[in-house]
Amino acid sequence: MTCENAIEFLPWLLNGTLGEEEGGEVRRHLETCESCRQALAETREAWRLFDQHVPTAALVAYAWGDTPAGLDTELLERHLESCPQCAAELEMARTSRGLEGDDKIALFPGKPSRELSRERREPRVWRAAALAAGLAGVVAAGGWINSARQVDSLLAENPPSAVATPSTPTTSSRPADDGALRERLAELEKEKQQLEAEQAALAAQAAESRDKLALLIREASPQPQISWSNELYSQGDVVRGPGAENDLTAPAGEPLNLFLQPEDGAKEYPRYEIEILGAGRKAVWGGQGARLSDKGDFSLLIPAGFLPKGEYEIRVYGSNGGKRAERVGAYGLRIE
Amino acid sequence: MMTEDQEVVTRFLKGETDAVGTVDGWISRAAWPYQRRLAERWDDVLQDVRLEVTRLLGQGKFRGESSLRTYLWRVVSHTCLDQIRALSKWQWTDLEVLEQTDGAAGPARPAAASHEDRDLLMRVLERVSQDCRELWRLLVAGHSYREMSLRLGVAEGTLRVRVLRCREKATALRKELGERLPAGRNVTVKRSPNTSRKANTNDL
Repeated sequence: MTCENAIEFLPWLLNGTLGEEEGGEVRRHLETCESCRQALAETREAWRLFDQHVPTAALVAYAWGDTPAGLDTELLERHLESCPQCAAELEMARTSRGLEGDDKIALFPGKPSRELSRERREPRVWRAAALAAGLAGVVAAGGWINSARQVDSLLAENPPSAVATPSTPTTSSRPADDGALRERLAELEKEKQQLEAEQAALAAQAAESRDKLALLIREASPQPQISWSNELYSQGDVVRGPGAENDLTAPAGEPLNLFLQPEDGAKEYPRYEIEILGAGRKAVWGGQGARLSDKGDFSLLIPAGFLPKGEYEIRVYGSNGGKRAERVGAYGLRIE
Repeated sequence: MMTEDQEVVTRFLKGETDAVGTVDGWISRAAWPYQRRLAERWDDVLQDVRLEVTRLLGQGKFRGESSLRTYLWRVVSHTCLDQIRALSKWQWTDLEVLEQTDGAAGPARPAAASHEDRDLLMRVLERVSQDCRELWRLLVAGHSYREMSLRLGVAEGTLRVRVLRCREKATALRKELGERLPAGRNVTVKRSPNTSRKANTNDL
């Protein structure tokens, strides 16, 4: 391995994505090359630099309106402007702080599923907003029912004949009681309206905060904005051509996030090779060095427009010592 | 005379149900905004937070400088943010192994540094282009050549060169700004001590 190659590999050696074979070569080279060890030290320094964020304690202090100790506030604010990760974290801390002083805001206990990142995320925001609106409606209805019950209890304490209804005013024999009841009813009505207004404002505030937070999280997330994702299961032999029914049809012009499930009982390899075959089973793309995720599948990101409309076959092979071994999966995919 | 907060702490440490319920309710509420980011780690983190709160209160770290509620709220935020940051980190094992085997100078992980060091690094960082920051952000997050290439729509070979150039530029900027610092504020990069989450929250 040359110094040039070794230096190019250093960042990936540090982030742990370099394969055993390549990693071993780089390590062996480092043992004998002083200049590359120096480059490794510089790469570590760059790593430290680019992984620099506002310390958690300072971020929490700032969220609570304090001046963070030992950190220039202007520097912190400039960093927040250019670092979506820190900005998102600050927003979460501020949201938490907002909950500290206000027990009226109801929290939704919903737990994000493990598969969240694989699904479309947009509808979830709307689902949450709809849930908030629904809850506000339920709480408002509860307040109305409660008010109605209070009126009922007042009515129970007083004979119905003594109560004047708005539509049918009567000549009550107990005008003093009647007046007091009307007054009490008006108070309750006013109270109910105030509560409803407060609930609506709080629900709107919660929905707005949630949307803002979701937006910031999406911006800060290292995951791409995936517009279409799905799982593909190995088909053994993929049949193509007129009349063939592939498992999956994906939209053209959108980035695709595919999770390829290996065949049942497939032998595990240290690395894998993936290739995409187009018309006439001609390879249109190939890549080596893939690894199984901790969920036991392969994640394949295909940029928008990379695959034109047509039928494709994706094949995954085990790779041993850089050589292609057996096939562990074959998947049909139609782009329309 | 014991304040109301101190009384809650005492009762909480004795395991009295109502005090434990109150503190646990505050913890759940304070941690709620972090739930989505912590995803399947949520329950574990909540448990970590409870242990951390018990540890801090047991050690008498709450000194009544703020209300107990505010104190716990900040501890929860601190712990959750630390956990979120830890989740975004990639495999550090290789770094540590390398540190042991190659004997090269430099920290094994980009952990907490001195105020001056951090100040300098943040000033350098704001002078680096957004493209470089994005490129290295993906690297730090553990993305491979291929993933980065697909994501950024740039050939792998080009990426390697860009990564190298960004590193060289950052190193030069760091050197330049480091030299400009007044005497007595020279930055020494040294292996950071063990900076665990618990050590950090002790500062609260």
